Amino acid sequence: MGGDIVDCLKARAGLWPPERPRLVGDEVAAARKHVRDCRECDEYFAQDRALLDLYDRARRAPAPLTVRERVFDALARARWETQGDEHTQRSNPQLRSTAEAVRHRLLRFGALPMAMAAVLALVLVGDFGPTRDGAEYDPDMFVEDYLRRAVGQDHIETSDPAEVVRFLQRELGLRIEPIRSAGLDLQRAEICLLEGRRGAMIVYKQNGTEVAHYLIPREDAEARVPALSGRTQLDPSDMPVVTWATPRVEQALVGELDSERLLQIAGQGSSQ
Amino acid sequence: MTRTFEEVAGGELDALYQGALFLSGGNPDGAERLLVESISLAFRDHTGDRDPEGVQKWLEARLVRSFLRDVQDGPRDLPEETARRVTPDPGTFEALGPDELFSAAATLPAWPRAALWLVLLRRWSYADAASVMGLDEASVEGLLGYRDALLREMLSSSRDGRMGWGAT
Repeated sequence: MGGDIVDCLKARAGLWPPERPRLVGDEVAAARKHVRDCRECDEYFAQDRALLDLYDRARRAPAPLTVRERVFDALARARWETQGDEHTQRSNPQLRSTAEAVRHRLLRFGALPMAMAAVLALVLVGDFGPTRDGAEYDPDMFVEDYLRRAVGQDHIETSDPAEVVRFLQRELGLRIEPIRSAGLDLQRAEICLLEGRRGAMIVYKQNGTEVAHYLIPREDAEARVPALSGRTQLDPSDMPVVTWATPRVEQALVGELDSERLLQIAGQGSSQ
Repeated sequence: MTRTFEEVAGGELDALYQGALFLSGGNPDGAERLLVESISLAFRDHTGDRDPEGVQKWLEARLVRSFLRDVQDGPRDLPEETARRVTPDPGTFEALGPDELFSAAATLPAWPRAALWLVLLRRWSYADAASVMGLDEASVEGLLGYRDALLREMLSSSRDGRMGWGAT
């Protein structure tokens, strides 16, 4: 039986949202009684529940990676601007110089040696394929990463793998476990920006040597087994780089360990 | 430990994007613009850590405000035709997906779309939704009358009405 329209609207408003616990005063009791007796209100709440379930299913879908990247780029710009003296910093010759910017970053953040970043960048520019000897890579790439790090606070210092998992899930929308390998100690995780792509770097230590594990989300990445980069194969004296991919994530391992050990670690990482 | 704004926003990004898609009527470019704009603005207002539910509502409020700031036009009153009721058969919604929902949202004016998202889909109280939208509660209640229009559009987008909706 349908109640009159005023009672229906009043009852629905009084019980909204229906999932929320509420003290049962006279008005709530009356609204509940109305809904029990009113077919239209009963249908209304049934439709409402179904509509909500439909939307909740949609809410669990991840935002596209490109959207996530644009949001975080915008945040980096906003943070940079709110630091107050954007103009001063941009006109600062020290920061205008790419080389200086990179040096500044390395000094400030105590990151891995620049050579490591350069090797990785070369690998990225080469799309994880064979290196292009003598190829120039865009210095803006380093500036971009520098800015991202300078204006953000996207890093955590932790030896707890679960904390890193949460960090990566939150920042990149990816559920990725740090590599577990005997003698490899988790140190920290950072967000990085390479070639406009937002990724992460997990840093480990083995016998005092830092090893960086880069993760770059790519929609088109297909699973690939770990392999020494072409650059390392051509010149074994270069810092070794191992690259591989899991679905939607390009990965690289860089560090001053011998190639075999690096491959072993990467193999453990790819099979986790 | 105080979280950075990036951490706060990052945790809500997926859900906010779906909200932006609803508000943008399923237009991915519009949703992206809206999301970037609202999160950038929220960053400027961010003053410290909040409890998870507080963060969620705070960001949702900014999403709606950004949306309404860009769309000042459109009716806020309920046209009479939306009062026409629809009745779904059981199980109808299981066969529908987000695309039908977002497409149906695109047919509604901006203000009711925002009200429906806050109240129906995000479970805001009428009073809180009214406050965010700068309206009174009675106006929000009126805008919620577009719910039937939303359902009707979902019916029509689910091909020839075979889903079993019927106007009564």
